[in-house]
Amino acid sequence: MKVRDLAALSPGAEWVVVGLPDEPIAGAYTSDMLSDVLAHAPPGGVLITIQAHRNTVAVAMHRGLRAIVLAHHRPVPRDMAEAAQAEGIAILRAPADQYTLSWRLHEHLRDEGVVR
Amino acid sequence: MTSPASSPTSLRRLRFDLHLHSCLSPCGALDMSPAFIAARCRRLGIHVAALADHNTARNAPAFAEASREQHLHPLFGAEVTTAEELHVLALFDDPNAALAFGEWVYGRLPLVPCRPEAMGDQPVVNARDEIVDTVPLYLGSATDLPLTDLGAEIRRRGGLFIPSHVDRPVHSLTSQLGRIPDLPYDAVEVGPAYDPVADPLRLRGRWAMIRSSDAHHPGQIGCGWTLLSVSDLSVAEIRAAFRRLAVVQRRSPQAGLGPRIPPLR
Repeated sequence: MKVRDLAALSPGAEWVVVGLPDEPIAGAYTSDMLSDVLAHAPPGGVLITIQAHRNTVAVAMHRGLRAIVLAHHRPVPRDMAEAAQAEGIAILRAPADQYTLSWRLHEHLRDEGVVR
Repeated sequence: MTSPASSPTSLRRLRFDLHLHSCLSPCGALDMSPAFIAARCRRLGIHVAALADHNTARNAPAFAEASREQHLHPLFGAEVTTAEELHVLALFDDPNAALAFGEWVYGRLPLVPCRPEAMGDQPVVNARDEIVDTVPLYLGSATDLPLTDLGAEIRRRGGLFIPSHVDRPVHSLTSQLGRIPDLPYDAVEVGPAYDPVADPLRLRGRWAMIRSSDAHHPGQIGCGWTLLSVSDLSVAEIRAAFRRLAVVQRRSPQAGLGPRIPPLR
């Protein structure tokens, strides 16, 4: 699965920052506590969260994440989008909730053998 | 401006902005030097201004000096990010107390380095706008301090304990905890959209509601303030003024709250 394929996770999903669309996804993490993300998110992975602000990008950078998927179609502040653009981190807004997005992403990654 | 301390028995009604960020905050504009903030506050009629950068108070000495030159009454402190990832103002009337508190808070940050090109600059400056140092750890991270422990430490050190923008959808009591826990806040800061009459968070009468600019950019200075009646500018007197304001707001919910002013461009 590549970054560009994340848009298929939820009807109505829209790209805010496309990032590096051909990069492969190496895993995923779902959390709304950024300190938890900082400690546990897998490098090369995707973060599913509702935390739509610039600090989320800072944490994603530090963990080497490829993309941030914002649940509940949360609006993205401009400084968050600009920081993600500068770092090549994709941001996708999706209407679905965190559980649904995690479940769908897990199915894809499991089928590809990325996760068990 | 005459110092309120010159007439200790009488109350003076002053305009307070208790939440301003300098260039040291990674999300703050570089032209928000302590000297610039002090001059702009003075020009816009703010009498008392508090510098509260994210998780540090290292620009407090410059703000103290700049405020003296501008005849502005300064307070000093930090806006701390708790372990719950919500923001709390900790304010002191002494820059050294703020510095010591800020160093303690900084020691509770994770070891995430700041990469200025992506996260923003974090310069420590003097009152002449000269950069004297930079802060290496990213100041936007959350500390490992739970809200209750932080509040107790602020009070132990003699500071004011004020949760920031409690009605905001991010980094607030309501966004992180879903409610306003009953703790000994000295006041609660509400955002510009909060309606104190409808009072959906049921703050009125429990704590003084205050409004601040939370300015990160020059055009935001002066966009929010609170009128307080004080006899001096000690933490003890400001705390007493908050208690008086809370009583008044029970029957006049908008008392003390400055109007909502759109930011300057």
